[in-house]
Amino acid sequence: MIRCSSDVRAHATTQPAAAGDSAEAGRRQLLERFVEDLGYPAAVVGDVISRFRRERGAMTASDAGHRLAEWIGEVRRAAEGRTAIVPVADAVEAFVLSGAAMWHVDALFAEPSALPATHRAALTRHRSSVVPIEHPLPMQPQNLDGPRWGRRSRPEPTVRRLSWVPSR
Amino acid sequence: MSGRHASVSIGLADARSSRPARGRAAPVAIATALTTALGTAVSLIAAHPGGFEVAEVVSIALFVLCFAWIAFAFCTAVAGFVRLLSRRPLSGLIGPQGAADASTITSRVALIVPVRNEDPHAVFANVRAIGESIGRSRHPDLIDFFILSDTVDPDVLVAEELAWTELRGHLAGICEVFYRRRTDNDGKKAGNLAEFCRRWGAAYEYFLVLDADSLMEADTIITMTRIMELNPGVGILQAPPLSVGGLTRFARLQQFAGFAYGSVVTAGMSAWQGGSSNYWGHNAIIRTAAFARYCGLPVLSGSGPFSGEILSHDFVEAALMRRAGYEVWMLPALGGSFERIPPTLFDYAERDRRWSAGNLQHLRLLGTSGLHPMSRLHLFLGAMSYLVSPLWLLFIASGVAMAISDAATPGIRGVDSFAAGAVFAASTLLVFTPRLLGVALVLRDRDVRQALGGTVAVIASGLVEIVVSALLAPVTMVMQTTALVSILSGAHVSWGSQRRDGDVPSLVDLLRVHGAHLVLGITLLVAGVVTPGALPWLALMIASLLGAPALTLWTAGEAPSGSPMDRLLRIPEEAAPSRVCSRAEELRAVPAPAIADGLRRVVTDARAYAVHLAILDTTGSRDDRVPASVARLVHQGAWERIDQIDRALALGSATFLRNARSSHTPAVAHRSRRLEPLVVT
Repeated sequence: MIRCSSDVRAHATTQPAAAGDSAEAGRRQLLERFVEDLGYPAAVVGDVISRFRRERGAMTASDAGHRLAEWIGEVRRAAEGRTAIVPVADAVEAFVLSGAAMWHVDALFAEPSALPATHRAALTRHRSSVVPIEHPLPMQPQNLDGPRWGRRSRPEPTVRRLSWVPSR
Repeated sequence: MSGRHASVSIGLADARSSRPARGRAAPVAIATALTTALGTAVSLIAAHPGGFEVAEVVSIALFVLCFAWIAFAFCTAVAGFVRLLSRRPLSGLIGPQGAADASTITSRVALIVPVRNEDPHAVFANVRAIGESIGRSRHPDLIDFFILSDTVDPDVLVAEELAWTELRGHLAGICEVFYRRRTDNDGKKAGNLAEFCRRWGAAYEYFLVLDADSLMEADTIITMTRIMELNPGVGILQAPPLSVGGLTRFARLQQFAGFAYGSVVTAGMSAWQGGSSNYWGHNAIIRTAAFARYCGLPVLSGSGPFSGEILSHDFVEAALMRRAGYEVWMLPALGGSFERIPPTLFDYAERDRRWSAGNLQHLRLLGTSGLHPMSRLHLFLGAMSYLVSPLWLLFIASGVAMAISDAATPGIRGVDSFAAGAVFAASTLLVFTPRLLGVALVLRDRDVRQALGGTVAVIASGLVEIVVSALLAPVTMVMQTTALVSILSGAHVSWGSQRRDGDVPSLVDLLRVHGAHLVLGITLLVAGVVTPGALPWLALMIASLLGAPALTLWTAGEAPSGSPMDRLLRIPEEAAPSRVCSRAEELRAVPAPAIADGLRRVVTDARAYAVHLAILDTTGSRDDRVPASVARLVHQGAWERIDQIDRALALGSATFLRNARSSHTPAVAHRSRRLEPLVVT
């Protein structure tokens, strides 16, 4: 049952129109590529696209990118009150680095406040979370020499240092 | 199941014992000395009829060294057998008071996974299985993972990065998974760990080292952490890993041996070494502050096999920890600690070659000031475990030379046959008794016995293992000897990744690797024909050497499902796999994504590009200039013409990648003019 205009659009995309509609096929292809680039496994890409179109009205990859950026912005606002606009590239990076595509197909379409706090935090930290803040501990190479006693104060003889050999 | 196979009971005493390690070691040392003295006396009687020429003296000296080695292994196994039989709690460590205490920790722990050009699919499957196990524990918030990558292969590197993002998605809400890439590989694995300590050591009281093929249950990790909390004098706690997951005959033989006999020897070592035990480089928890302060490794001065970066770092780090006054413990009863083993003899020999190069370096460190005597012993034994092969070979060669010499001198009675037979029988007994003790312990435990297919299956497995290991022994002896010769002659030893899934070796490889075996086998056969008296003594060795290619080929294969061989050589983990192992197996069974051209992926795939640039940002790598020819090839999309070195160079330059990505995307749009451009560039 088709209930609203976004359903119509989603339905239209899931039911291929006449063969040869290459523009629509191309749009679909780019949108698929966009969703794959977010890290979604191939098995759920179709589902994510349908939901992008049905729930977010995103018919193209460009639309989907902007919807993602808006959503990440909302997540960040919910997490720490940041209100800055999130560029699409930053949104994609944050999404990919958090591994959010592995959570659940629903995650991307959930209300930010409904996300678990750990997921919100993961989407908020993006690049800085590759490695944590450093807490350095000095580590010096240890001395593995033998005991001091009996050691010659002069350089050790080597084959090349024949001059070390006593003259008498 | 008995305590030795369970993961809950760790059999620790409640209070400290002041009994020093030296006291524990004395019975094993005395028994080894007595056994060696007895063997030497009988060998002197055996050699007496022919008189003592230089050849006899050399031969007996070599025999004494080799006999002492097997006597020592025998005495350690007996000590382990007694320990496992008596089930006496290990004294000297404070254990947790019950299950609740064992699972209650307050310290932060880093689980570090150093990797270098490993298969990302397999590595991350293991890490995910461990992570999910931690998710079921009470303390996921105190545990973080660090993937410490020294990977240089550009294709593996990009696959690793993508696998990491998926892993952290899977473990989101359980624990953090950080990914650290080094742009230099200073100090190899030891340098990798040291770099972790220098940058993040102060944030974690302990770190636990996991190899690429390590698996550990969260319960074990948390119990180990609790033991470290309760025993501030312990610097390193090793959970001996049980070998699992083998499919080839070779791997199954090794894992059965590791389970049945290895556990007896490990229990023996733990019993007499106490708080002066050794560290095996992985599946061990380490006190971070003590490690950073006292275990930094220098580069050994000079050139040649005894200098440069320390390869087998684990023994040296354990020795330094002990020198600083901290104890190093090995607890075989911990359970829940696993590893995979090389699938074929070739893979095993390759690993052995790396280890032997590292252990040989230890000879130089024997005189290091301040080391605990037990640490010196560990360093010596590590080197001896490889040096004993050429010693055996020299002993056999000297024996053959004596036999030929005696045969050439009419009227001379070479050896006392009865005494020689007694020495041979005693040597055989010493070599195989640890195996018999292991099988006896397995048979004694009803649950384990049933899990392995019943009494007949256990005995048959033991017999098969004894026969095959007896056939393999001369082969590995020659392999180790040739490896040592090449190391000492200055041949380069690469510290590459281990091939963890073996392919059946090709005929060319078989002949190349086993050429030395065939030559030696034919030589011994000729010697046996010349001196028929020596032939029975050499028969097994000749058969083994001449059959080496067939043996390698047979052991590299898998037993057909349902065949008698398939029902043998089982371990309890196969009947009742631990949760972490079965989960890792399940994840590994998922088809792995192909490891594609890394540079192409980063330039053309938005996800790979985003992840790689973010990681590159944390490496502090120099933005090296990439040759114009590479830029041209990238622009043309001629990926197959870019060699691995140039791909790696290009992947290290953020500027180049940004340019390549921006110049490449319009090209895509141009080719598909009717399509809209990609939004993510």
